[in-house]
Amino acid sequence: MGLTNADRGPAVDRTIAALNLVAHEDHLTVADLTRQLGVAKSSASDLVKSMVGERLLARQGRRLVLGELVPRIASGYAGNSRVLRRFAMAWDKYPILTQHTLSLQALIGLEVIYLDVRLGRHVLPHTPRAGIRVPALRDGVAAPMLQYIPPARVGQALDRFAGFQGNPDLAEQVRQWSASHYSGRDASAVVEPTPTGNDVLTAIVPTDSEQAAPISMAIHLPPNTPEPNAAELIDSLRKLASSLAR
Amino acid sequence: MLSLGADGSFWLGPHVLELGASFHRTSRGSLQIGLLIPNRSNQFYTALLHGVENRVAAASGELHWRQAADESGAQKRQWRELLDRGVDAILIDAVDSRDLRPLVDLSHERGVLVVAFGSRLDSVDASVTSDNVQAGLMAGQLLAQQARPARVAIVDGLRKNANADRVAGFKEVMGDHPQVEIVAHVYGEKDDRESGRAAAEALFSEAGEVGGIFAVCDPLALGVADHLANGSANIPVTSIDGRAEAVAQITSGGPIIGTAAQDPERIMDATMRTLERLFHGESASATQLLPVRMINRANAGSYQPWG
Repeated sequence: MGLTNADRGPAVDRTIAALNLVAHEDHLTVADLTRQLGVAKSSASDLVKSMVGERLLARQGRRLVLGELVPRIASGYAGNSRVLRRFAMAWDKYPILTQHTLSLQALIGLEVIYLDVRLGRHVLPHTPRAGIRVPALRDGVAAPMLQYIPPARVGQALDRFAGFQGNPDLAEQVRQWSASHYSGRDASAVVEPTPTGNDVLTAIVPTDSEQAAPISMAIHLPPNTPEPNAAELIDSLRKLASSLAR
Repeated sequence: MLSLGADGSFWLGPHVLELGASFHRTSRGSLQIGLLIPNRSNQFYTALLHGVENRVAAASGELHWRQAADESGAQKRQWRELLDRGVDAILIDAVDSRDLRPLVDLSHERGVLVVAFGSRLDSVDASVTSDNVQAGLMAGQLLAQQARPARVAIVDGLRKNANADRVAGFKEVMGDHPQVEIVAHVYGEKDDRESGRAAAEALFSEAGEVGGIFAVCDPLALGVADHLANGSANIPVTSIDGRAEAVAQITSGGPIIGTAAQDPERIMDATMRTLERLFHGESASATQLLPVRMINRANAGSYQPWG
């Protein structure tokens, strides 16, 4: 009963393809999906019906959009769905921040992963995007967020992913770096350079849960930006970070 | 979509985040508000729902409301269900104020704001209610002036802070009238008319002759008035709410002679403003008490009732 192994592959492929098409194209209809997937109309209709039923897709009139299950799955990185949703809703309430590229990041063991990004007007040496992973520590240079996370929480994040990431030597290096460089603050005081070439200001998103991945928010600036108003930027960043935790 | 770990386990792959980010960019994500009310058939909540639905829609939010048919256990289950649904905030008028602390704490653990309205709750982010003590004071003052002989009874309802505050206010003003004696304090099973009738029957069995009755809300008072209509005694009743049917009795000569009016739409408006402030990280008063207004025969004609 059910799908054979031969069936399962193409069905999964079509589902992922449908998700990608809906994610990146506006005003996609079932007819558009049929054409782009290169399948029969009935197959596309059945696929959409199944995906709508599973809340992977949703209908808005004739238009297809991503369903509510998608952000819920993505929220697994953050530990809860509210942080990502609130970031999307609240970032444009701080006008000084909307000019800049803003990223939301989580420490996933040995890596920092970008949960979401809002692009500003500056062209940056490195344009972050959601899903990108960068090493938390590489060649002795640490991701800026690491110095604002208490060493105990860094240790918890490392322990949680120890088996998955399987690099105990690097994990120990990260622990030692964290212990010796922790700033005691929850946010930048000045603009800091990073290995990607961007300068950043960082603020930790507060959380009461010890189990949640440490999350930070960063403003990305072109290097050597002439006299950025760091104090005002970090103040807005901290307020936004605090609002995500409520 | 999935990542394979060194130990052979799987975890979410980065593509999931790309899709999630795309969702939030296009949908913007709306504020998800959970609303818990004791009973949809109570006209207080009809008026209140109307206000909150408009307000949430205007803020591009999404409202998930549940009514508990005055069952405390049902309300607790609904609260959990809304938390599991991932709401950003819980607005609650509790069926029973007791034993809700674990759910308040659970909500806070999950980063969910909790605002109590209609009846205060311990340890929530904010409470917005009518000044229920003031309401009891006003209803008691009116009754003390009218009751004859000086034996009065209390018809109480659901075990929530709103009712407790109203009774406290009533008892406080009775202290200023030593000639008046509280001879009975009975409880309706729910805050509804049927419970008022049953409570009135129990009251007279318990206390015998009474000269005045205070009911904590208009539905109970209307039930008491129904019971009194079957007898011949002219026993005044005061109450709290300000709904239309009670006001109609006031203007037509009773048994209900006064009701301390609250404003459900104003309560919900203040609740939503408080929620918006809290959501945006602004400070908000932990407890807001909205004044009530005593409606009696003298001013009932100029009062616009709700319900």
